[in-house]
Amino acid sequence: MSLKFTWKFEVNKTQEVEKTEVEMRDGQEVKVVKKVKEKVPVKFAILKPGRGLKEEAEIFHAGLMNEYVINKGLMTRQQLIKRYANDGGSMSEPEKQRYAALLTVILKEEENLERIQLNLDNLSEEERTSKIQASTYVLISSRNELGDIISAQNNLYEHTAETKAEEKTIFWWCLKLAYTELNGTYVPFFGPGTIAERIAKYDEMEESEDLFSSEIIKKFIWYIGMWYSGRISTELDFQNVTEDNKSKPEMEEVKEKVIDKPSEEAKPLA
Amino acid sequence: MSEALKIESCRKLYRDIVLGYSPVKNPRCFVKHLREIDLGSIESKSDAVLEEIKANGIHSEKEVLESLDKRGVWTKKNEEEYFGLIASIKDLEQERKKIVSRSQAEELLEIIAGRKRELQEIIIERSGHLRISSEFFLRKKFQQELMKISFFKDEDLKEPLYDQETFADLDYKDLIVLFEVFNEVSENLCELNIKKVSVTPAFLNTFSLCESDPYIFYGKPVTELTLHQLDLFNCGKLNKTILEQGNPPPENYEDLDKVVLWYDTEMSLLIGRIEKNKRDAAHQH
Repeated sequence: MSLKFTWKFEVNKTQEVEKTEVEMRDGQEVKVVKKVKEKVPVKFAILKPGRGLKEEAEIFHAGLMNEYVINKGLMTRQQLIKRYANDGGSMSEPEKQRYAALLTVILKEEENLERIQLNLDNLSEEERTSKIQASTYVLISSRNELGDIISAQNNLYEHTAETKAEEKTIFWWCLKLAYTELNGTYVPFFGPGTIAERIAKYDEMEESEDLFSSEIIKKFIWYIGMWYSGRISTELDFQNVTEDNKSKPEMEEVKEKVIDKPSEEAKPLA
Repeated sequence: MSEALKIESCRKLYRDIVLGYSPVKNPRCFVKHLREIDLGSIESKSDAVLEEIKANGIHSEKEVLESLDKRGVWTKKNEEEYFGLIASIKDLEQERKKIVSRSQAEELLEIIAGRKRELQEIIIERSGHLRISSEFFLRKKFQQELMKISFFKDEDLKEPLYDQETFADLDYKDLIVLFEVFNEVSENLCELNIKKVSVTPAFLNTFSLCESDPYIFYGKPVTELTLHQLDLFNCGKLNKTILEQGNPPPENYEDLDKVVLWYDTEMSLLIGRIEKNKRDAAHQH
């Protein structure tokens, strides 16, 4: 059965290629093979999964949920939401008070700073500078603390069983859906083997410190993560997010480690 | 016009039951009515499928429920309330069958509907917790197997709508279409509709000639009969018993619900009389 792909993309890889040139040496024509750095386009693709693969993923995800919920006792998102609702919200009483206090401090300090900056109290320049410094310090530290509280609130749901299972499932999907072109045929990027074998291949790539592979893996995880969360599904969606992402550093800039000195091999013409 | 259609629908349904399949226009196919042995052959694979599912670290429903209870998420008390509610609905439905007064029956129906709504909410919460259990995935596989063996291209039910490989690769949206068609066919063949078929003269006249023998009626051994054929035959036997009591059934077949209600009521009265006779006989002894 022919493979169907959701999205195909190309990334230029700087690599050494052999170039043959004809040179005259001692009155004789010789072929000189030079290794030069060149940008070579490499094709990648994201497989369009069939129902069988989707069901395999569901079972994999459920296995993880079992691990996190039953064996490790993590809460599900639904349980956490319900618990917070029963407890009167996701913040404790002291946290709520601190949150409210910080908001008040920030509002007052913003007013105070404006008053100092406009010098409504006719302060000396020295006093004014000192007060601005003190007020700015209070404002920054209060804003930082408030930011930490908000971030902690958002992070509460990061530790649910679903979030942890989703992270691993995205990685599982990546191992299954990532393809690359080799000799005109698309082949699995992490090899054709079992999940364990593909993980071994992934580890091998990561350990090799091959920047190109690393960046490609990141790209696959980014695309597949977006696809998994339901934010993109059609070819047009993939096109749009790729356009939106163009402001980010181009993959083309990623270069392979190459031998500094190009080697030369002289062969007399036959 | 619509009343005539009801009878017409019943005739069509009667035909489908006897033939053992329902024709479908979109997608053009035939949905096979299943036999007990069809369900048996799917269930016979369930142990192997369950083992395969569990090999992925997925726990059984019992284990998930124990874990939920330990963490106080869904406790044994919740579980007792859930089963208690199911039992109470069953009891009320049994009670309803024995009630002769229309007003009492309506009152009871309202209570049952309320309990069912309550149960629905509990089912949603409970099944939400159990979506990670091995039984959840087993049921899913079971339903897919049902779809695989139910859809055919031909009336002889010889050529499956999708071969093994195509079915395995069907997208979810195509599978959902099959589920919807299957559910529509099943809903059309619900208990009430089969009862309606069983009270029509078209059925009763034929049934009266078969000497209560399913082989004479369907021309097949009982093990080859579909579940709907068995249900219809059992309804026929009950209706025949009721008619033998001598009370004439309503002659207006335009409202089949009323005719079904008459048979239900007569059956309740008959059971009541039998129970009373039993009690009287026991009392005399």
